[in-house]
Amino acid sequence: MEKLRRFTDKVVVITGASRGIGRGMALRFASEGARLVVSANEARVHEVAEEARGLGGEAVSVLCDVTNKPEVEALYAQALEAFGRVDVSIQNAGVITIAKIEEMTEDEWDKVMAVNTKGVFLCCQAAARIMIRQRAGRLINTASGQAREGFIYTPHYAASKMGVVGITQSLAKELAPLGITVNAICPGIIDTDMWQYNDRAWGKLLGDYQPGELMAEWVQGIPMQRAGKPEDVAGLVAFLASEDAAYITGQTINVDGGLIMS
Amino acid sequence: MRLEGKLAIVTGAAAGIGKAIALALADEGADVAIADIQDAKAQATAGEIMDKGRRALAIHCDVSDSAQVDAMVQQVAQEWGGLHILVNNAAVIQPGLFWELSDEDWHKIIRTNLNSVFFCSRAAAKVMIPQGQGGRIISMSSIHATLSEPSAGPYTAAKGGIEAFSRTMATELAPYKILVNCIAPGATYSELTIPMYTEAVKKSLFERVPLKEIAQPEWIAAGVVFLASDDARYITGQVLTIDGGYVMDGSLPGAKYWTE
Repeated sequence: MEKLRRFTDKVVVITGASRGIGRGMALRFASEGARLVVSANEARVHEVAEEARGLGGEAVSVLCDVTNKPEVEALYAQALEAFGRVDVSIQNAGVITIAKIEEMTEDEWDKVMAVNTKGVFLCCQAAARIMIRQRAGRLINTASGQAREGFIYTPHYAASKMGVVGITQSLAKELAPLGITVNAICPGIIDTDMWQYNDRAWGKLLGDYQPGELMAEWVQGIPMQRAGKPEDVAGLVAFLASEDAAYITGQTINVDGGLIMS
Repeated sequence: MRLEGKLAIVTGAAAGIGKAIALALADEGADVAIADIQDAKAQATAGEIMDKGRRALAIHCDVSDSAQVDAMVQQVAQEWGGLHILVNNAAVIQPGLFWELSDEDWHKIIRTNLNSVFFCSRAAAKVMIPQGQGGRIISMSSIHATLSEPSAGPYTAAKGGIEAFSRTMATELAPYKILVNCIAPGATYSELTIPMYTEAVKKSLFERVPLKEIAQPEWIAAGVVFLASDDARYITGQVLTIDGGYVMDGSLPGAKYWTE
């Protein structure tokens, strides 16, 4: 199969790009010729930029805490300084904790809402300012299966991800006249470090599960009988960022092997 | 060339959105069989596919008739040796306030738009399952599965039925790596719809469509190509809405263009 190269010279900003789905997205865009600005709040993101360059893309890496407005503004200022424009911005940074309601702390609630929802808002705002001047752009927000249905012991995470869908739909309406589309993706159970934590944390609360056992049990419930890989998610995101998706906006699309059918 | 070597059937592909889908699949390297009742137009579309260097078949098939559907799918499977992609696109419309519709008005829509999805998908699954190479079944729904459009009663019932049935098919076929999804187009230029889009209707429509355009059929076809491609390998049981932002999960009342 001929390789796709749809993003030559397109500038793509990705938050939460140091590992997991974000890293998978970065590598996919790099392989399609994009100029990447990869960001995270850990130094590991610099390695991802190296990997991207190894695939033939251009990449800069920027440390950024998406809950911090000046840092977010600096991220997008650096994107402009490096590449002069932002064509696609993927608000992917996200965190999770898992706890019973009697034990969940205010800090846990605040942190998850700050990263997962406020962080999406701050990054969309900074990206939108640039894209409005360009009269062109794509915003893609990583929601979750929990934007469709809340899982147990994560009321904060479910609220945060349903909030991402609200942001997506509202901004899609606001930015459509300016040539900007806004969509969200809902990954299901994806083989990442986050799910290693999820497996152990849910496992401890739901029974006598050894590491790996809970996730394996939940994967049995997926029609496609397997967890997803970051590459599986990246394929959908690449489509949404492409010319082929220019008439798609305000949508929320599940990429989850049929775990949740919407 | 994301679909090189794939064998596809598109129903209702003689014209309109179906034709755009057939041509787009061919552009990506698939051989495409057209199942339609408009024979001359189907032949012409087949000719365009062959001009692209792909194989094509134009098969007369009334998709509301299960015997014709079985024969059509058998013909493709035998002549080409298999089947990888089915696109259920054939549809008809019948506007009218529901209490003024006849029995036959209802049956015509359900037969052609919904029964056809069962008949074609059943026949396709029977080829794809033993073939053991996975597959794709992509059915055309519509924003009317969600929008409550006056005068579109049987059509919305059929499209809603297609979406629900696709979820069941997705669950049953997942073990065979046959992925089943729907596309829900919004306002789109096609043979069926061009007469509807008067200036007054467009004005009303654009108040509700953030991207303020009516889709070209090629934009819908691009979504079908994505769902048929390897990049959609972890997506099943879903509805991909391509509508310029008209419907975002809600069922807001739509522009009244079926009756104007």
